[in-house]
Amino acid sequence: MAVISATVFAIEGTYFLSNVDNHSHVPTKPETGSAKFDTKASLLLWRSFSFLLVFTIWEIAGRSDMSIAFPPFSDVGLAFVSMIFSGEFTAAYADSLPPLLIGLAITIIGGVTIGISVGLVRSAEWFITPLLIIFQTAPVSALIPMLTYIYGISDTSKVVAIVILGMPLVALNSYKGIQATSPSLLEMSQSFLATRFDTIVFVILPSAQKMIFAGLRLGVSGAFIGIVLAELLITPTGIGDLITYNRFIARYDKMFATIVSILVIAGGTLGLMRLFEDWLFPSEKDK
Amino acid sequence: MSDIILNTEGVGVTYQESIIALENVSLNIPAAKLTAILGPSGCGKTTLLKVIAGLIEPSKGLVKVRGKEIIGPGPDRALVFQDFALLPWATVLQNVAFGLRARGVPKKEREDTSLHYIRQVGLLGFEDKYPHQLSGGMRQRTGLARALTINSDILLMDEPFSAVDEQMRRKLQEDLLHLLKIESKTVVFVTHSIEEAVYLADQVVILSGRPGSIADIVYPEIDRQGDIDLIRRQPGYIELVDEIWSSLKRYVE
Repeated sequence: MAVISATVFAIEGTYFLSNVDNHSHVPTKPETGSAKFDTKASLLLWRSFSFLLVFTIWEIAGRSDMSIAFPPFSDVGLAFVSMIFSGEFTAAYADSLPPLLIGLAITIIGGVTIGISVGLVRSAEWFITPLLIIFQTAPVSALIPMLTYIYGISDTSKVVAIVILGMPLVALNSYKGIQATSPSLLEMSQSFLATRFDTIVFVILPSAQKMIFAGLRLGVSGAFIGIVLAELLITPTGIGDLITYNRFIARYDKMFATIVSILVIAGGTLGLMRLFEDWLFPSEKDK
Repeated sequence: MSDIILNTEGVGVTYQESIIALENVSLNIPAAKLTAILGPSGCGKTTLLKVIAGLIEPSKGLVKVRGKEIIGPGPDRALVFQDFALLPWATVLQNVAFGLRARGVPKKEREDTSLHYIRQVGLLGFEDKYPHQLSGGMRQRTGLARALTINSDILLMDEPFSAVDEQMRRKLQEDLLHLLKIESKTVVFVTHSIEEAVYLADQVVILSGRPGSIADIVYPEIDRQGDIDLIRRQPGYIELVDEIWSSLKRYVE
Protein backbone atom coordinates (compact mmCIF):
# COMPACT_ATOMS: atom_id res chain seq x y z
CA MET A 1 0.00 0.00 0.00
CA ALA A 2 2.96 2.31 0.64
CA VAL A 3 3.77 2.20 -3.04
CA ILE A 4 0.26 3.15 -4.00
CA SER A 5 0.21 6.15 -1.76
CA ALA A 6 3.65 7.14 -3.04
CA THR A 7 2.32 6.91 -6.58
CA VAL A 8 -0.76 8.89 -5.74
CA PHE A 9 1.38 11.48 -4.05
CA ALA A 10 3.71 11.62 -7.03
CA ILE A 11 0.88 12.19 -9.48
CA GLU A 12 -0.82 14.74 -7.33
CA GLY A 13 2.53 16.42 -6.99
CA THR A 14 2.66 16.79 -10.76
CA TYR A 15 -0.77 18.25 -10.76
CA PHE A 16 0.21 20.96 -8.33
CA LEU A 17 3.41 21.67 -10.20
CA SER A 18 1.60 22.09 -13.48
CA ASN A 19 -0.99 24.16 -11.74
CA VAL A 20 1.61 26.78 -10.91
CA ASP A 21 0.99 28.00 -14.47
CA ASN A 22 -2.28 29.49 -13.29
CA HIS A 23 -0.47 32.02 -11.22
CA SER A 24 2.29 32.70 -13.66
CA HIS A 25 -0.10 34.95 -15.60
CA VAL A 26 -0.74 37.21 -12.67
CA PRO A 27 2.47 39.23 -12.54
CA THR A 28 2.71 39.55 -16.33
CA LYS A 29 0.25 42.39 -16.69
CA PRO A 30 0.51 44.69 -19.72
CA GLU A 31 4.18 45.49 -19.36
CA THR A 32 7.03 45.99 -21.74
CA GLY A 33 8.39 42.97 -23.55
CA SER A 34 11.63 42.78 -21.59
CA ALA A 35 9.88 43.04 -18.21
CA LYS A 36 7.60 40.20 -19.24
CA PHE A 37 10.61 38.14 -20.23
CA ASP A 38 12.33 38.88 -16.94
CA THR A 39 9.34 37.65 -14.94
CA LYS A 40 9.13 34.50 -17.01
CA ALA A 41 12.85 33.85 -16.75
CA SER A 42 12.90 34.36 -13.00
CA LEU A 43 9.85 32.13 -12.62
CA LEU A 44 11.65 29.40 -14.54
CA LEU A 45 14.69 29.89 -12.33
CA TRP A 46 12.64 29.56 -9.15
CA ARG A 47 10.92 26.45 -10.45
CA SER A 48 14.21 24.82 -11.35
CA PHE A 49 15.43 25.74 -7.89
CA SER A 50 12.37 24.03 -6.39
CA PHE A 51 13.13 20.83 -8.32
CA LEU A 52 16.78 21.05 -7.34
CA LEU A 53 15.84 21.43 -3.68
CA VAL A 54 13.63 18.32 -3.73
CA PHE A 55 16.27 16.27 -5.55
CA THR A 56 18.99 17.41 -3.14
CA ILE A 57 16.96 16.48 -0.08
CA TRP A 58 16.10 13.17 -1.74
CA GLU A 59 19.79 12.52 -2.45
CA ILE A 60 20.82 13.34 1.13
CA ALA A 61 18.00 11.29 2.64
CA GLY A 62 18.77 8.39 0.30
CA ARG A 63 22.44 8.41 1.21
CA SER A 64 21.74 8.38 4.95
CA ASP A 65 21.00 4.91 6.29
CA MET A 66 17.29 5.53 6.48
CA SER A 67 16.15 2.44 4.62
CA ILE A 68 17.37 0.19 1.91
CA ALA A 69 14.00 0.74 0.24
CA PHE A 70 14.77 4.43 -0.25
CA PRO A 71 17.60 4.80 -2.75
CA PRO A 72 19.22 8.20 -3.40
CA PHE A 73 18.05 10.30 -6.35
CA SER A 74 21.19 9.63 -8.40
CA ASP A 75 20.57 5.85 -8.34
CA VAL A 76 16.98 6.37 -9.42
CA GLY A 77 18.08 8.71 -12.20
CA LEU A 78 20.58 6.13 -13.48
CA ALA A 79 17.96 3.37 -13.28
CA PHE A 80 15.55 5.62 -15.19
CA VAL A 81 18.01 6.10 -18.06
CA SER A 82 18.95 2.42 -18.14
CA MET A 83 15.30 1.35 -18.25
CA ILE A 84 14.65 3.63 -21.23
CA PHE A 85 17.45 1.95 -23.19
CA SER A 86 16.80 -1.61 -22.00
CA GLY A 87 13.27 -1.44 -23.36
CA GLU A 88 11.65 -2.15 -19.97
CA PHE A 89 9.63 1.09 -20.16
CA THR A 90 8.68 0.48 -23.78
CA ALA A 91 7.34 -2.98 -22.99
CA ALA A 92 5.46 -1.84 -19.88
CA TYR A 93 3.90 1.21 -21.54
CA ALA A 94 2.92 -0.84 -24.58
CA ASP A 95 0.66 -2.72 -22.14
CA SER A 96 -0.50 0.28 -20.14
CA LEU A 97 -0.94 3.02 -22.71
CA PRO A 98 -3.77 1.58 -24.85
CA PRO A 99 -6.22 1.16 -21.92
CA LEU A 100 -4.99 4.46 -20.47
CA LEU A 101 -5.72 6.34 -23.70
CA ILE A 102 -9.13 4.71 -24.15
CA GLY A 103 -9.96 5.42 -20.50
CA LEU A 104 -8.78 9.03 -20.81
CA ALA A 105 -10.86 9.57 -23.95
CA ILE A 106 -13.99 8.23 -22.24
CA THR A 107 -13.22 10.23 -19.06
CA ILE A 108 -12.75 13.50 -20.95
CA ILE A 109 -15.49 13.23 -23.55
CA GLY A 110 -18.00 11.51 -21.27
CA GLY A 111 -17.25 13.69 -18.24
CA VAL A 112 -17.49 16.99 -20.09
CA THR A 113 -20.63 15.89 -21.93
CA ILE A 114 -22.38 14.69 -18.77
CA GLY A 115 -21.29 17.75 -16.74
CA ILE A 116 -22.39 20.27 -19.36
CA SER A 117 -25.68 18.50 -20.07
CA VAL A 118 -26.58 18.27 -16.41
CA GLY A 119 -25.58 21.92 -15.91
CA LEU A 120 -27.81 23.03 -18.76
CA VAL A 121 -30.82 20.81 -18.14
CA ARG A 122 -32.32 21.52 -14.76
CA SER A 123 -34.43 18.37 -14.77
CA ALA A 124 -31.35 16.13 -14.97
CA GLU A 125 -29.75 17.78 -11.96
CA TRP A 126 -31.55 15.93 -9.15
CA PHE A 127 -30.73 12.61 -10.73
CA ILE A 128 -27.05 12.89 -11.51
CA THR A 129 -25.59 15.17 -8.83
CA PRO A 130 -25.91 12.77 -5.86
CA LEU A 131 -24.33 10.03 -7.95
CA LEU A 132 -21.40 12.24 -8.90
CA ILE A 133 -20.87 13.33 -5.32
CA ILE A 134 -20.93 9.73 -4.10
CA PHE A 135 -18.37 8.73 -6.72
CA GLN A 136 -16.22 11.72 -5.91
CA THR A 137 -16.06 11.14 -2.18
CA ALA A 138 -16.29 7.35 -1.92
CA PRO A 139 -12.99 5.47 -1.53
CA VAL A 140 -13.33 4.13 -5.04
CA SER A 141 -9.93 2.44 -4.90
CA ALA A 142 -11.46 -0.04 -2.44
CA LEU A 143 -13.97 -1.02 -5.11
CA ILE A 144 -11.44 -1.55 -7.86
CA PRO A 145 -10.63 -5.20 -7.00
CA MET A 146 -14.37 -5.87 -7.38
CA LEU A 147 -14.07 -5.01 -11.06
CA THR A 148 -12.27 -8.30 -11.55
CA TYR A 149 -15.50 -10.15 -10.74
CA ILE A 150 -17.27 -8.33 -13.51
CA TYR A 151 -14.70 -7.80 -16.24
CA GLY A 152 -12.03 -10.36 -15.29
CA ILE A 153 -8.35 -9.71 -15.69
CA SER A 154 -8.59 -7.61 -18.81
CA ASP A 155 -8.03 -4.20 -20.34
CA THR A 156 -11.71 -3.51 -19.80
CA SER A 157 -11.14 -3.61 -16.04
CA LYS A 158 -8.37 -1.05 -16.43
CA VAL A 159 -10.52 1.22 -18.58
CA VAL A 160 -13.38 1.02 -16.08
CA ALA A 161 -11.02 1.76 -13.19
CA ILE A 162 -9.74 4.86 -15.01
CA VAL A 163 -13.23 6.05 -15.85
CA ILE A 164 -14.67 5.67 -12.35
CA LEU A 165 -11.71 7.52 -10.85
CA GLY A 166 -11.52 10.27 -13.45
CA MET A 167 -14.95 10.92 -14.87
CA PRO A 168 -16.83 12.09 -11.74
CA LEU A 169 -14.22 14.81 -11.23
CA VAL A 170 -14.54 16.01 -14.81
CA ALA A 171 -18.34 15.86 -14.80
CA LEU A 172 -18.77 17.54 -11.42
CA ASN A 173 -16.42 20.41 -12.23
CA SER A 174 -17.96 20.96 -15.66
CA TYR A 175 -21.38 20.98 -14.05
CA LYS A 176 -20.28 23.46 -11.39
CA GLY A 177 -18.68 25.66 -14.05
CA ILE A 178 -21.94 25.82 -15.99
CA GLN A 179 -23.93 26.54 -12.83
CA ALA A 180 -21.55 29.35 -11.84
CA THR A 181 -22.37 31.46 -14.90
CA SER A 182 -23.11 34.99 -13.71
CA PRO A 183 -26.89 35.56 -13.57
CA SER A 184 -26.28 39.11 -14.73
CA LEU A 185 -24.59 37.88 -17.94
CA LEU A 186 -27.50 35.51 -18.53
CA GLU A 187 -29.94 38.38 -18.14
CA MET A 188 -27.83 40.46 -20.48
CA SER A 189 -27.88 37.73 -23.08
CA GLN A 190 -31.61 37.30 -22.70
CA SER A 191 -32.32 41.02 -22.93
CA PHE A 192 -30.29 41.28 -26.15
CA LEU A 193 -32.48 38.52 -27.57
CA ALA A 194 -29.76 35.89 -27.90
CA THR A 195 -31.11 32.43 -28.64
CA ARG A 196 -30.52 29.64 -26.14
CA PHE A 197 -27.88 28.24 -28.47
CA ASP A 198 -26.04 31.58 -28.75
CA THR A 199 -26.22 32.02 -24.99
CA ILE A 200 -24.63 28.62 -24.48
CA VAL A 201 -21.89 29.18 -27.07
CA PHE A 202 -21.06 32.82 -26.34
CA VAL A 203 -21.83 33.15 -22.62
CA ILE A 204 -22.18 29.91 -20.68
CA LEU A 205 -19.37 27.79 -22.16
CA PRO A 206 -16.68 30.51 -22.15
CA SER A 207 -17.72 31.34 -18.60
CA ALA A 208 -17.39 27.69 -17.52
CA GLN A 209 -14.14 27.15 -19.41
CA LYS A 210 -11.80 27.60 -16.43
CA MET A 211 -13.76 25.21 -14.21
CA ILE A 212 -14.09 22.66 -17.02
CA PHE A 213 -10.35 22.65 -17.59
CA ALA A 214 -9.65 22.50 -13.86
CA GLY A 215 -11.91 19.42 -13.79
CA LEU A 216 -10.09 17.95 -16.77
CA ARG A 217 -6.75 18.35 -15.02
CA LEU A 218 -8.12 16.63 -11.89
CA GLY A 219 -9.75 13.97 -14.06
CA VAL A 220 -6.54 13.24 -15.93
CA SER A 221 -4.68 12.93 -12.63
CA GLY A 222 -7.44 10.59 -11.46
CA ALA A 223 -7.10 8.56 -14.64
CA PHE A 224 -3.38 8.05 -14.03
CA ILE A 225 -4.09 6.95 -10.46
CA GLY A 226 -6.76 4.63 -11.89
CA ILE A 227 -4.45 2.84 -14.33
CA VAL A 228 -1.74 2.35 -11.69
CA LEU A 229 -4.24 1.09 -9.11
CA ALA A 230 -5.80 -1.27 -11.64
CA GLU A 231 -2.43 -2.70 -12.58
CA LEU A 232 -1.37 -3.05 -8.96
CA LEU A 233 -4.60 -4.51 -7.65
CA ILE A 234 -6.20 -6.40 -10.52
CA THR A 235 -4.03 -7.17 -13.50
CA PRO A 236 -0.30 -7.46 -12.84
CA THR A 237 0.71 -6.12 -16.25
CA GLY A 238 2.31 -3.05 -17.71
CA ILE A 239 3.53 -0.28 -15.53
CA GLY A 240 1.89 -1.60 -12.35
CA ASP A 241 3.65 -4.90 -12.84
CA LEU A 242 6.97 -3.11 -13.32
CA ILE A 243 6.48 -1.47 -9.92
CA THR A 244 5.42 -4.70 -8.18
CA TYR A 245 8.10 -6.83 -9.78
CA ASN A 246 10.93 -4.47 -8.91
CA ARG A 247 9.65 -4.21 -5.37
CA PHE A 248 9.66 -8.01 -5.03
CA ILE A 249 13.23 -8.34 -6.29
CA ALA A 250 14.24 -5.35 -4.12
CA ARG A 251 15.36 -3.19 -7.04
CA TYR A 252 14.00 -0.08 -5.38
CA ASP A 253 15.92 2.21 -7.71
CA LYS A 254 14.00 0.75 -10.65
CA MET A 255 10.74 0.86 -8.72
CA PHE A 256 11.15 4.56 -8.03
CA ALA A 257 12.30 5.17 -11.61
CA THR A 258 9.03 3.65 -12.80
CA ILE A 259 7.06 5.95 -10.51
CA VAL A 260 9.08 8.90 -11.82
CA SER A 261 8.23 7.85 -15.38
CA ILE A 262 4.50 8.00 -14.55
CA LEU A 263 5.08 11.40 -13.01
CA VAL A 264 6.83 12.63 -16.16
CA ILE A 265 4.09 11.33 -18.46
CA ALA A 266 1.27 12.67 -16.28
CA GLY A 267 3.03 16.04 -16.04
CA GLY A 268 3.57 16.09 -19.80
CA THR A 269 -0.11 15.32 -20.42
CA LEU A 270 -1.21 18.11 -18.10
CA GLY A 271 1.22 20.49 -19.84
CA LEU A 272 -0.21 19.55 -23.23
CA MET A 273 -3.70 20.25 -21.89
CA ARG A 274 -2.56 23.68 -20.77
CA LEU A 275 -1.26 24.39 -24.28
CA PHE A 276 -4.54 23.15 -25.74
CA GLU A 277 -6.50 25.45 -23.43
CA ASP A 278 -4.35 28.45 -24.38
CA TRP A 279 -4.80 27.59 -28.04
CA LEU A 280 -8.56 27.23 -27.64
CA PHE A 281 -8.97 30.47 -25.66
CA PRO A 282 -6.14 32.77 -26.73
CA SER A 283 -7.65 35.82 -25.00
CA GLU A 284 -7.05 34.27 -21.58
CA LYS A 285 -3.31 34.49 -22.16
CA ASP A 286 -3.32 38.28 -21.93
CA LYS A 287 -4.63 38.28 -18.41
CA MET B 1 -46.49 66.32 -22.85
CA SER B 2 -45.33 64.29 -25.81
CA ASP B 3 -46.58 60.88 -26.96
CA ILE B 4 -46.55 57.98 -24.57
CA ILE B 5 -44.26 55.26 -25.93
CA LEU B 6 -44.41 52.89 -22.98
CA ASN B 7 -46.79 52.42 -20.10
CA THR B 8 -47.36 50.06 -17.23
CA GLU B 9 -50.85 49.22 -15.99
CA GLY B 10 -51.29 48.11 -12.39
CA VAL B 11 -47.99 46.24 -12.30
CA GLY B 12 -47.45 44.14 -9.18
CA VAL B 13 -44.64 41.72 -8.43
CA THR B 14 -44.83 39.17 -5.66
CA TYR B 15 -41.94 36.88 -4.82
CA GLN B 16 -42.46 33.46 -3.24
CA GLU B 17 -46.17 34.15 -2.84
CA SER B 18 -45.67 36.46 0.12
CA ILE B 19 -42.98 39.06 -0.48
CA ILE B 20 -44.54 41.98 -2.31
CA ALA B 21 -41.87 43.89 -4.24
CA LEU B 22 -44.12 46.12 -6.33
CA GLU B 23 -47.76 47.06 -5.98
CA ASN B 24 -50.09 48.66 -8.48
CA VAL B 25 -47.59 50.65 -10.51
CA SER B 26 -49.24 52.49 -13.38
CA LEU B 27 -46.85 54.68 -15.22
CA ASN B 28 -46.63 56.58 -18.51
CA ILE B 29 -43.26 57.00 -20.17
CA PRO B 30 -43.19 59.87 -22.68
CA ALA B 31 -41.28 59.32 -25.92
CA ALA B 32 -37.87 60.92 -26.42
CA LYS B 33 -37.78 62.03 -22.77
CA LEU B 34 -35.74 60.89 -19.84
CA THR B 35 -37.69 59.35 -16.98
CA ALA B 36 -35.95 58.65 -13.69
CA ILE B 37 -37.25 56.05 -11.26
CA LEU B 38 -36.15 57.17 -7.83
CA GLY B 39 -36.58 55.51 -4.48
CA PRO B 40 -34.90 54.23 -1.35
CA SER B 41 -32.89 51.02 -1.64
CA GLY B 42 -35.02 47.89 -1.66
CA CYS B 43 -38.10 49.73 -2.94
CA GLY B 44 -38.29 47.62 -6.08
CA LYS B 45 -37.05 50.16 -8.62
CA THR B 46 -34.73 47.68 -10.31
CA THR B 47 -37.56 45.13 -10.25
CA LEU B 48 -39.77 47.66 -12.04
CA LEU B 49 -37.10 48.24 -14.68
CA LYS B 50 -36.68 44.50 -15.20
CA VAL B 51 -40.43 44.13 -15.59
CA ILE B 52 -40.32 46.84 -18.25
CA ALA B 53 -37.34 45.08 -19.87
CA GLY B 54 -39.33 41.86 -19.98
CA LEU B 55 -36.87 39.98 -17.77
CA ILE B 56 -39.33 39.60 -14.89
CA GLU B 57 -42.91 38.63 -15.54
CA PRO B 58 -45.23 40.74 -13.40
CA SER B 59 -47.58 38.83 -11.10
CA LYS B 60 -50.25 41.41 -11.79
CA GLY B 61 -50.81 44.00 -14.49
CA LEU B 62 -49.02 44.47 -17.79
CA VAL B 63 -46.51 46.56 -19.72
CA LYS B 64 -47.30 48.05 -23.10
CA VAL B 65 -44.96 49.46 -25.72
CA ARG B 66 -46.84 51.70 -28.18
CA GLY B 67 -50.08 50.25 -26.87
CA LYS B 68 -49.06 46.62 -27.42
CA GLU B 69 -48.53 44.32 -24.48
CA ILE B 70 -44.98 42.99 -24.21
CA ILE B 71 -44.06 39.35 -23.74
CA GLY B 72 -40.45 39.15 -22.62
CA PRO B 73 -37.55 41.23 -23.92
CA GLY B 74 -37.93 42.85 -27.32
CA PRO B 75 -35.94 44.72 -29.98
CA ASP B 76 -37.63 47.98 -28.94
CA ARG B 77 -35.84 48.04 -25.57
CA ALA B 78 -32.11 47.97 -24.77
CA LEU B 79 -30.73 47.52 -21.30
CA VAL B 80 -27.70 49.04 -19.55
CA PHE B 81 -26.67 47.13 -16.44
CA GLN B 82 -25.59 48.32 -13.03
CA ASP B 83 -22.70 45.82 -12.93
CA PHE B 84 -21.95 46.44 -16.65
CA ALA B 85 -22.58 42.74 -17.53
CA LEU B 86 -19.63 42.62 -19.92
CA LEU B 87 -18.20 39.32 -21.09
CA PRO B 88 -14.74 39.27 -19.45
CA TRP B 89 -13.21 37.09 -22.16
CA ALA B 90 -14.39 39.33 -25.01
CA THR B 91 -12.89 42.59 -26.26
CA VAL B 92 -14.73 45.92 -26.13
CA LEU B 93 -15.61 45.49 -29.80
CA GLN B 94 -16.95 41.95 -29.29
CA ASN B 95 -18.92 43.07 -26.24
CA VAL B 96 -20.44 46.04 -28.04
CA ALA B 97 -21.32 43.83 -31.00
CA PHE B 98 -23.04 41.20 -28.82
CA GLY B 99 -26.58 42.38 -29.49
CA LEU B 100 -25.99 42.58 -33.24
CA ARG B 101 -24.38 39.15 -33.26
CA ALA B 102 -27.41 37.72 -31.48
CA ARG B 103 -29.53 39.26 -34.24
CA GLY B 104 -27.43 37.53 -36.89
CA VAL B 105 -25.91 40.70 -38.36
CA PRO B 106 -22.88 39.82 -40.57
CA LYS B 107 -19.45 40.39 -39.04
CA LYS B 108 -18.35 43.35 -41.16
CA GLU B 109 -21.59 45.22 -40.67
CA ARG B 110 -21.79 44.64 -36.93
CA GLU B 111 -18.18 45.74 -36.47
CA ASP B 112 -18.79 48.94 -38.47
CA THR B 113 -21.89 49.75 -36.44
CA SER B 114 -20.14 48.89 -33.17
CA LEU B 115 -17.15 51.08 -34.01
CA HIS B 116 -19.49 53.95 -34.77
CA TYR B 117 -20.99 53.75 -31.28
CA ILE B 118 -17.64 53.05 -29.64
CA ARG B 119 -16.55 56.39 -31.12
CA GLN B 120 -19.74 58.05 -29.90
CA VAL B 121 -19.21 57.00 -26.30
CA GLY B 122 -15.58 58.11 -26.51
CA LEU B 123 -13.89 54.71 -26.47
CA LEU B 124 -12.22 54.76 -29.88
CA GLY B 125 -8.76 53.22 -29.56
CA PHE B 126 -9.92 50.85 -26.82
CA GLU B 127 -11.92 48.48 -29.02
CA ASP B 128 -9.37 45.67 -28.68
CA LYS B 129 -9.01 45.95 -24.90
CA TYR B 130 -10.58 43.52 -22.48
CA PRO B 131 -12.95 44.70 -19.72
CA HIS B 132 -10.38 44.06 -16.98
CA GLN B 133 -8.07 46.55 -18.68
CA LEU B 134 -10.67 49.33 -18.47
CA SER B 135 -11.74 51.67 -15.68
CA GLY B 136 -15.28 51.49 -14.28
CA GLY B 137 -16.34 54.48 -16.34
CA MET B 138 -14.99 52.96 -19.54
CA ARG B 139 -16.73 49.68 -18.78
CA GLN B 140 -20.06 51.44 -18.47
CA ARG B 141 -19.38 53.33 -21.72
CA THR B 142 -18.93 49.89 -23.30
CA GLY B 143 -22.27 48.80 -21.83
CA LEU B 144 -23.90 51.95 -23.16
CA ALA B 145 -22.41 51.48 -26.64
CA ARG B 146 -23.70 47.89 -26.67
CA ALA B 147 -27.21 49.13 -25.86
CA LEU B 148 -27.01 51.82 -28.57
CA THR B 149 -25.91 49.47 -31.38
CA ILE B 150 -29.20 47.66 -31.57
CA ASN B 151 -30.90 50.97 -32.29
CA SER B 152 -33.94 50.46 -30.11
CA ASP B 153 -36.06 53.48 -29.26
CA ILE B 154 -36.11 52.82 -25.55
CA LEU B 155 -32.99 52.72 -23.41
CA LEU B 156 -33.40 51.16 -19.96
CA MET B 157 -30.63 51.98 -17.51
CA ASP B 158 -30.33 50.26 -14.13
CA GLU B 159 -28.34 52.53 -11.81
CA PRO B 160 -25.77 52.79 -14.58
CA PHE B 161 -23.40 55.17 -12.84
CA SER B 162 -23.63 53.90 -9.27
CA ALA B 163 -20.55 51.68 -9.56
CA VAL B 164 -18.21 54.52 -10.58
CA ASP B 165 -16.68 57.31 -8.51
CA GLU B 166 -18.26 60.74 -8.11
CA GLN B 167 -16.16 62.61 -10.69
CA MET B 168 -16.61 59.90 -13.29
CA ARG B 169 -20.34 59.85 -12.56
CA ARG B 170 -20.60 63.59 -13.34
CA LYS B 171 -18.66 63.11 -16.54
CA LEU B 172 -20.84 60.19 -17.61
CA GLN B 173 -24.01 62.14 -16.80
CA GLU B 174 -22.86 65.04 -18.95
CA ASP B 175 -21.84 62.71 -21.74
CA LEU B 176 -25.23 61.00 -21.60
CA LEU B 177 -26.99 64.35 -22.03
CA HIS B 178 -24.70 65.20 -24.96
CA LEU B 179 -25.38 61.82 -26.50
CA LEU B 180 -29.14 62.17 -26.14
CA LYS B 181 -28.96 65.42 -28.10
CA ILE B 182 -27.59 63.42 -31.03
CA GLU B 183 -29.57 60.20 -30.59
CA SER B 184 -33.24 60.65 -29.94
CA LYS B 185 -34.02 58.03 -27.32
CA THR B 186 -36.57 57.42 -24.66
CA VAL B 187 -34.64 56.73 -21.49
CA VAL B 188 -35.90 55.06 -18.33
CA PHE B 189 -33.28 55.45 -15.68
CA VAL B 190 -33.18 53.88 -12.21
CA THR B 191 -31.26 55.81 -9.58
CA HIS B 192 -31.06 56.34 -5.85
CA SER B 193 -29.54 59.79 -6.28
CA ILE B 194 -31.98 62.71 -6.09
CA GLU B 195 -29.44 65.05 -7.68
CA GLU B 196 -28.89 62.65 -10.55
CA ALA B 197 -32.64 62.34 -11.13
CA VAL B 198 -33.25 66.09 -11.15
CA TYR B 199 -30.15 66.75 -13.22
CA LEU B 200 -30.99 64.26 -15.96
CA ALA B 201 -34.71 63.61 -15.99
CA ASP B 202 -37.75 65.28 -17.51
CA GLN B 203 -39.97 63.15 -15.33
CA VAL B 204 -39.04 61.80 -11.90
CA VAL B 205 -41.09 58.89 -10.59
CA ILE B 206 -40.71 58.55 -6.83
CA LEU B 207 -41.35 55.10 -5.42
CA SER B 208 -42.29 54.52 -1.81
CA GLY B 209 -40.56 51.96 0.35
CA ARG B 210 -41.41 48.27 0.21
CA PRO B 211 -43.76 47.31 -1.27
CA GLY B 212 -42.86 49.77 -4.01
CA SER B 213 -45.66 51.89 -5.35
CA ILE B 214 -45.72 55.32 -6.91
CA ALA B 215 -45.52 57.99 -4.20
CA ASP B 216 -45.22 61.00 -6.45
CA ILE B 217 -44.25 62.12 -9.93
CA VAL B 218 -42.45 65.42 -10.46
CA TYR B 219 -41.47 67.14 -13.67
CA PRO B 220 -38.24 69.11 -13.30
CA GLU B 221 -38.66 71.91 -15.82
CA ILE B 222 -35.03 72.39 -16.36
CA ASP B 223 -33.66 73.75 -19.59
CA ARG B 224 -31.15 71.25 -20.95
CA GLN B 225 -30.92 72.79 -24.40
CA GLY B 226 -28.26 75.28 -23.39
CA ASP B 227 -25.00 74.77 -21.59
CA ILE B 228 -24.99 71.50 -19.63
CA ASP B 229 -22.57 72.99 -17.10
CA LEU B 230 -25.22 75.49 -16.03
CA ILE B 231 -27.96 72.97 -15.18
CA ARG B 232 -27.04 72.77 -11.52
CA ARG B 233 -27.12 76.59 -11.25
CA GLN B 234 -30.59 77.00 -12.69
CA PRO B 235 -33.22 78.49 -10.44
CA GLY B 236 -35.41 75.74 -9.08
CA TYR B 237 -32.73 73.01 -9.19
CA ILE B 238 -31.87 73.12 -5.49
CA GLU B 239 -35.48 73.67 -4.47
CA LEU B 240 -36.60 70.64 -6.42
CA VAL B 241 -33.90 68.46 -4.88
CA ASP B 242 -35.08 69.60 -1.43
CA GLU B 243 -38.70 69.05 -2.31
CA ILE B 244 -38.06 65.49 -3.47
CA TRP B 245 -35.99 64.78 -0.39
CA SER B 246 -38.76 65.90 1.93
CA SER B 247 -41.27 63.66 0.15
CA LEU B 248 -38.84 60.74 0.09
CA LYS B 249 -37.52 61.09 3.62
CA ARG B 250 -40.35 59.23 5.31
CA TYR B 251 -39.65 56.07 3.26
CA VAL B 252 -36.02 55.92 4.22
CA GLU B 253 -35.33 53.54 7.12
